[in-house]
Amino acid sequence: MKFETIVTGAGLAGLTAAIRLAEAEQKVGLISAGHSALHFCTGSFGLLGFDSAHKAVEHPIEALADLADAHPYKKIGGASLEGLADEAVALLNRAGVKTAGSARENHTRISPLGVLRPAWLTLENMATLEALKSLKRPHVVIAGIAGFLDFYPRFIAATLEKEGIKCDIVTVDNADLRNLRKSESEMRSANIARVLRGEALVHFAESVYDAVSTSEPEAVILPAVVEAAPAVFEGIVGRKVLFAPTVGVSVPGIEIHSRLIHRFTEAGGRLLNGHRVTGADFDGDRLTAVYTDRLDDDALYADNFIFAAGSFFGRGLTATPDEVIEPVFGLDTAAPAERDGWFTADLFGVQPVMNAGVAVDDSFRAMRSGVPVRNLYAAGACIAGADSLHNDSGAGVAMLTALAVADKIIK
Amino acid sequence: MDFQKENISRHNFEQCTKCTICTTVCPVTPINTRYPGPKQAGPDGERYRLKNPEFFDEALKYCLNCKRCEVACPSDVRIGDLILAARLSYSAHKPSLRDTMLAETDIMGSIATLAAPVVNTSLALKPVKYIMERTLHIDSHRQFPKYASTKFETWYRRNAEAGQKKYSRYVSYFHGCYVNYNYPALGKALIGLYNAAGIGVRMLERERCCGVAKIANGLVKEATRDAEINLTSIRKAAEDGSEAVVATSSTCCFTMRDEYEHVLGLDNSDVRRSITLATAYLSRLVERGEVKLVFRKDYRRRIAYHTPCHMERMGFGSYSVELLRSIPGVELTVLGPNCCGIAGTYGFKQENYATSQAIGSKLFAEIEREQPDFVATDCETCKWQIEMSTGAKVLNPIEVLFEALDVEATRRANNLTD
Repeated sequence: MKFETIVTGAGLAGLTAAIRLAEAEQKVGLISAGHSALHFCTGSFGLLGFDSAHKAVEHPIEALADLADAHPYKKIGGASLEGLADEAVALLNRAGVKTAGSARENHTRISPLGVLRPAWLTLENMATLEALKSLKRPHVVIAGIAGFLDFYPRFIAATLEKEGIKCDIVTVDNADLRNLRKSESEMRSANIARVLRGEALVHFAESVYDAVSTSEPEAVILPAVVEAAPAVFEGIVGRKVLFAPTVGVSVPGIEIHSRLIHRFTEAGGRLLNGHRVTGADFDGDRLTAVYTDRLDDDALYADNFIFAAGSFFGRGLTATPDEVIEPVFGLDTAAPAERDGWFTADLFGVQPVMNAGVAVDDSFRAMRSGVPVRNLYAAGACIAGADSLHNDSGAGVAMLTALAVADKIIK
Repeated sequence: MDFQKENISRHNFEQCTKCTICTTVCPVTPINTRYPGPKQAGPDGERYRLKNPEFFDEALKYCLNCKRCEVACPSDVRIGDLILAARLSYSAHKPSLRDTMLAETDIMGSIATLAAPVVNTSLALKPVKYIMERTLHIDSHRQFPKYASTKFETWYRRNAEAGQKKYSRYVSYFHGCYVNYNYPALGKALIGLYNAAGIGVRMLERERCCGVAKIANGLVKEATRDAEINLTSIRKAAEDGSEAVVATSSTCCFTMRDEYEHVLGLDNSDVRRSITLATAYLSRLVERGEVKLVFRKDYRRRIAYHTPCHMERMGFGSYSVELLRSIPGVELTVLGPNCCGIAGTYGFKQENYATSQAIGSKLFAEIEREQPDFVATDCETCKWQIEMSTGAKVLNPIEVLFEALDVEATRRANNLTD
């Protein structure tokens, strides 16, 4: 099969690049080896939540200047970053992912454990501190679900009370939820969301209404266990409804994933789902074709390639006992030389191995045997130099490097 | 003491990182709370079962073997294989008469085709359906696929075999039970299409059911026997100069390529690559420029393509989709990644009927929204399920390609004379 561009990896980076190129009328093949870390995305995106000293960042664009030179943002350059960040928001919007937030000023999201964290973008229907503070009266009711162990109303309440927001706590239960609870191991957010559809969603809204009707709050905070609640849901509940993220697999994350996949195929993109890239043909400093574990000897040809297979979870990177490698193309990696230097004793401190990744040139072309591969670009978490856990910058690095790379290919 | 003896699985459950992504795509868990879900039934349960088979849970029978968990797994764990293999190794449930009848497609098909008109009429009668439901627990909502009065193999020997010898290159056709006993028209379309492109179509020396229905119903010994016969014939065909063994059913193809090794433990590595899907083989020849297909200028259709679960797992969807898209007058939509719910013989069983329809409801709703001229799919049981549940007509991509083909122009384009 022949494409103009082949993207390896269908996480946030791969999808962003693939959508951008398909929208520019390129014939794009997107190879996806299992679902991505987007499934754990809480519904908020970080561009730069914390600086290198782990201080919360208020103005991400301004703070980018202080990052180490090896950071991928530095290769994009300060002038372009702001434009790409706006482009990312527009792309999400075209896919039906409606967000609030700006690259110029972080807002405050609420983590699944009730901790306040800086964020770049948050899905419109999710609770942020700013949204709660803009309520007419600072009084909410947090509704847990009976038997659901991945949501902690008391943690959230403890945090919000400190911010001057009064919190009531109630528990919702009904026949559909009781039935689902028979399978204890499957009483998880994604499964609840798949049950709460159609009539069951109406029943759930009615149960929420019953549980909150006697209290006086302005808004209801629910765990994110329903897919894009329609306005009719809010109508039944009779108050403003905001969602808070749950632990584990995330319903908003799955929804972002499916909307992006849909946008890609709608724009004419070809998804190769469940394929793992197993080999490649190089001609000098050019990549000519890749192979997957599913298609026997069939080569997938393209003019350009994007490597967006992620970091260790996505298996774009693999750690052997003594080195960090990129296992498919044999690309050069940048990582601390000795294993002793990979980790520090402070679990929550900077772990140098998290900066490991594929070495790239200033145009994000991947390096192989010390030379850039002319038509192979890297995007997202596989790129060396970004400790996205520490900086809370995973989504920003994914989307901005993907857009930067797509722009280079289009030009 | 050999500690490892109780720790090593033939399947790769150790690779599971407990991320639970598999549970978000399982079509069964939201419908049937008795099913423990793919993570629990697969890699989690395997750890315990290896220590003590008493941890085996009969609720694993609710798994459809759709393998959507495997496609979604970021860590390459063969979750579906783990569950299926556990059922085959540990289940105390013995296949009932009903299960055996549904699974023995060759025996039932051979008998039924002898008296096809009588069988077809009877199977459609309400009293017969009622009795089958009461005695055999085959759900009365189901429409049995009609049996053909002449088997495909018989038709082939009488009408097509001699003509195939004149093609210098040829493939062997694994027609499967459905084409042989129920729907020879699909086999005839394949021969028409391939012949117009200059490719001969021959039969395997001996073909048995691929075994998928026997595997699903716990008839391992019988499935293995059939699989060995098929593999012997496939090896013989390769030696004789057949370029490939092509199937028109995605599940037959998937079973022979993957389940023979992963579930039955048979070594098929020498011939696995030669077993392929009819659209995959053809699309490779077209891409390499070895074959040209010319389509009718007046062919205009809106088609919705459904990717069968086993097709998704094989990763062959693009072959069928790209060939259909290459027909100039075709407007193609690829339907969402949803199981139709029938899962072969599963949906025929009375106890599974409601689950089966609930699982398929998302797909049915999408087809009803799309209102295509017809649905295309590579699996016959998906076809039965979609036709019964939506009223939409369903065709195999090979039939669509043949229907749209300008046979004479294609023959000329491939330099075929006479």
